[in-house]
Amino acid sequence: MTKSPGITTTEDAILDQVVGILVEVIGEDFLLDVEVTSATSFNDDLAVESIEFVALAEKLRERYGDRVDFVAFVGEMDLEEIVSMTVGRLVTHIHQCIEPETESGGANHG
Amino acid sequence: MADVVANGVKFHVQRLVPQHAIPETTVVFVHGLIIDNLSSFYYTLAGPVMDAGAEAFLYDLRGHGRSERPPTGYGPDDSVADLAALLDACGIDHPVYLLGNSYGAVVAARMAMTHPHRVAGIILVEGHYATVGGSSWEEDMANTLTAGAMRLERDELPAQAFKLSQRKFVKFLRTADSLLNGTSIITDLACGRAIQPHELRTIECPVLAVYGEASELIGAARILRDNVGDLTLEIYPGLAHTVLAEATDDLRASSVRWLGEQWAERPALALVAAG
Repeated sequence: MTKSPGITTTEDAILDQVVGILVEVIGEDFLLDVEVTSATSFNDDLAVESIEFVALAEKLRERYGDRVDFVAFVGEMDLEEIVSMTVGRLVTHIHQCIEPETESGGANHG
Repeated sequence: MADVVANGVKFHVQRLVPQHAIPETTVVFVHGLIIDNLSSFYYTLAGPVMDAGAEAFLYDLRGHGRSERPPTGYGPDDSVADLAALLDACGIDHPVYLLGNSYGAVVAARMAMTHPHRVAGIILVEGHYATVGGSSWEEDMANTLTAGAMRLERDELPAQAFKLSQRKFVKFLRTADSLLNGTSIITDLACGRAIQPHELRTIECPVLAVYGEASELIGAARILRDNVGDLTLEIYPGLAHTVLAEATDDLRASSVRWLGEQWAERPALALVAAG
């Protein structure tokens, strides 16, 4: 369901975790018919609302701790950039935060 | 922190604390009505406030965003009681800065009037404070909301609209319908007495007020100017009520500059901030 060509196994695992968090935040009903990949857009494909994005950030912090500074990550973006972000971009960011020594070569940034 | 129970209601709260925070310096953000929620500030002003050294404290008003939606308690006095209880529940006993947008500005002003010892300063974006042109904003808003509520009740949401592509629109309609037809918010707002000009004179803390030049509420700017002692008034040319959405950069700059000026007048804090 969540495998995407071109991303590492670790990022696949993170992608699965992010999808799990998404289900918690926006509800399973909306994700039943959608195959979430690294290229999936939070806005265009998942229609995630900005308040849900805040809840997503909260749960990412609970899951990964201070290593993933989501507020700083989105701090340089405007709202449109944030909601039009792909799942892959977020996954890559998380991967780089929790394994800074590891090359995330081949990652699909969307 | 996400959920905090205060005044008998579960509130969605986001507390963003900078790494090198100025001690006892908190900016509380209060959003507007119905379709608004804390995300309006989360992506716009909270980050810059954090960068300036303060804790950014954001919450969804009762019935809004991801906070609980009880059937009653939506008047301005209820909102002030919620805010005071929320600060208590979070252990914040130092005076805070309040930044309110639209209805949030009314809550901020009322909080400064009724709990002066808890408020260090207020930023009022597009607030309304007294009768403007005969009928009060509360009455006008209640009438507008009633019309919306009737439309939502009459036009049942079509099941086929509940598709992913229309998810946001459907959620918006459901939120509006649930708030307008499922709670006492219209009655509570209609019964809420507008702040009278002479009451604004009781505000002791410094105030930054921001309006759009073409806003229907621009009359309130004059009322503030005539009644608030320590007032900085900024009017943005060419803008209407949607200052936060349409002049985000300007509002961010105005707010951070004004807050910095307030903190600079607190020598101990300024020293910490500089260090």
